[in-house]
Amino acid sequence: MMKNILIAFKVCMFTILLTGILYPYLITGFSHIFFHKKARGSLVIDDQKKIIGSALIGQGFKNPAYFFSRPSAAGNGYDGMASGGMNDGPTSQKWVNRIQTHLAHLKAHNSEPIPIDLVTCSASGLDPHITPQAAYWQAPTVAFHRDVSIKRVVSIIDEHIEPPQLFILGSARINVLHLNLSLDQYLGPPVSIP
Amino acid sequence: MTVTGWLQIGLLFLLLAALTKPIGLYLYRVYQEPCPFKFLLPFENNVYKVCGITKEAQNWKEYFFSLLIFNLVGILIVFLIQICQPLLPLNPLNLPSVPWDLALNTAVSFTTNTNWQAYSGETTMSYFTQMVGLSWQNFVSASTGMAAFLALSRGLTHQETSDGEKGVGNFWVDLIRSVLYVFLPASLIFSLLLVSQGVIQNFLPPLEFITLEGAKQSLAMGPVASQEAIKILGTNGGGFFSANSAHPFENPTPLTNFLQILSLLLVSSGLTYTYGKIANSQKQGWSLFVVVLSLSILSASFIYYFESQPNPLLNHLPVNQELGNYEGKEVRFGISGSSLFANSATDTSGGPSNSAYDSYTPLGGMVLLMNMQLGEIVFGGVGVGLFGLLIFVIISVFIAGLMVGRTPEYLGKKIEGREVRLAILYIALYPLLILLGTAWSILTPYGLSSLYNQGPHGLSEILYAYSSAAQNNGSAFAGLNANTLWYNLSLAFVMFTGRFMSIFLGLSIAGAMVNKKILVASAGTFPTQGGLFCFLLMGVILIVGALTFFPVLALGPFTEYLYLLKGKVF
Repeated sequence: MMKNILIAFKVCMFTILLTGILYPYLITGFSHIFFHKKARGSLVIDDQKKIIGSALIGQGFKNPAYFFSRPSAAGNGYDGMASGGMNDGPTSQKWVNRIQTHLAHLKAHNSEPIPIDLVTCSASGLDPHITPQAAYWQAPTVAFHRDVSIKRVVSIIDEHIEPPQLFILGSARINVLHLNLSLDQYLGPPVSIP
Repeated sequence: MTVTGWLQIGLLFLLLAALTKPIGLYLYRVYQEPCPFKFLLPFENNVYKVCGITKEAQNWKEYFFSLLIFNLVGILIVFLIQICQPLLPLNPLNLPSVPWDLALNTAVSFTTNTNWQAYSGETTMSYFTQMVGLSWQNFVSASTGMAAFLALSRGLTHQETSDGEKGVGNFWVDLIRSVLYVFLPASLIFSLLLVSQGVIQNFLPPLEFITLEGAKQSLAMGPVASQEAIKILGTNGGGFFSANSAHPFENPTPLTNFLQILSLLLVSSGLTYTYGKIANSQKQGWSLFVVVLSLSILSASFIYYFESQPNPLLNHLPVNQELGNYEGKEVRFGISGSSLFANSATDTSGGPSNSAYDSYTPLGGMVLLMNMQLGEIVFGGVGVGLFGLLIFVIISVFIAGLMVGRTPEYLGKKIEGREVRLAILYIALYPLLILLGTAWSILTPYGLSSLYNQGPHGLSEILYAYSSAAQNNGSAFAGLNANTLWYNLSLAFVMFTGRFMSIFLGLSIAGAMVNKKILVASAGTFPTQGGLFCFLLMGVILIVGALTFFPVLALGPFTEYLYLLKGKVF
């Protein structure tokens, strides 16, 4: 009995040292040598060397001259300290109400039905992507507020479509932050909303 | 449903089938005596010397006792780390001590390989707690599962010897070899692969900045990749962040998603081949593999189909539902990548999530529930999955024996009253824990007050929690607020009993079988390989699972499905 408890303690200490301390520090060391940028969150830096976001983490956009992201359940929206989904079930009254409210507040220049990803929350609340359909659907609104042709906006969208990885993994998507950065780059910064 | 979606599912199972033999062969060699991998041998032997481990074989009671003591000490250490969190290093947010009930729940949860999480990682656990407490248990709880399987397989296959009682192996050796030769090297490779795709790995405090549009955003940081790798490989499932594998810092690309799905299944799948080697008949191993593979393909297809369907409640709204059910799913994974992940997470006892399972369609969610309720044997957790499947094999052989009126045999050893009684107890343990826990919770105000969704979906939320805890899965219908005194303590009890009672029963079978004579197969022996046996085993698995849980599934997800068709909301 005592012998076994002693062994158990020693094995615990040995495995903690190996897998709880040595292993994570080793991985941290290697990652910083080989993948410095990625290990620190794939940050996006602007011209003034200021951090404006992470390529992997979504941001909220309210200005109609930008493409907007999916609704987010993380904190007050895209809170990187409170990841999570809304967890509404398929027969939830709250869920249907939420989508109705969302639709009512939408000021879009498009009468087509809105793609499903634009009215539903992601699982992380930090989804950086929207579907290509969702981007095309927003094109008329963005074009109106930027005072450019819809065709111009669509061509910028087309540049940003990422196909399924290795042809069949995942689905086609568009990174909203990258897309909006391109808008600014090609068309200048937006007029701020009154 | 799309062609690429189906191709992704097909590719997964093809790759899995191709990798089963090499992985299985490697695992077999690792546990061989003497171990053929010489390069770590001096180090390994020093560890035994320092820890005072003699490598002699233990009988099943000693083996179980060592396993239990080791895990109890583990629970104590993880509990104390959480309580003492403010005094320990690597705590940039100055997070306070974890409340005792939550700390106990988490300690039991990680030690039992469940990784049920009633907390949000970002704002509850310091980097030290995550690394030293939780990551560590990810390694050793997975290794404990491997050990349990090894002991049972030895019991079933050992030749009788003249020198009396034969042991089932040495727990400490099995444990340490699993860490040194299996999980540590695999995690080293996998975590670097993950970092190369964008999973973070640092010790920085949370990052604050102004977004493109001028809002403030903070991002949680931490040593994520090292924990992510073992979380998946050891079928643990406890995420660094609250959103688990849906968080872009844990699972940034469709490729990492696919690799995570594959790695969840890999070790459990490989073990079927290892078992064939141990049993000295590859056909035995492949038969088990075919059974679980078929069940897994079936459930994956069902989930993908159900999740691709539009929700009738939105039909009158101007919403384009062509893509399927996107509530609680990430765009980069799509419906296929989410369904496939959910299937693997519930088939194995891993239980990570890359989508919000609570928001799945009623029938899609029901398949997830059933995956767990079948007993976590369709691949199952590392080691314990095949461990449970072997119990089902014993039941199947027994039923076949009843049909032909002859004492059943398995691998040449007679299956007698004692073994069958133990196997039946094993099978009955889970429904008992799951149904009693669920019933108690829906009858009490403190159980019901945690519900987020109402109506039949509420029943599913509670049923899911106890199924997940009893089967040591760890995934959740996360709307349920599980961080209450009742759920923390009752789920901790269910997780502990589900884990160690089942291992106890399985090891007693090993103990009862180890000394039996191996008889020569005759014309009357029921073969435990080939098509007929596969069908029988599959039938037993489905009937036991379906009959036990059919009533409650009819009241929960199935009723919800019928209400959804009628357009009723709650």
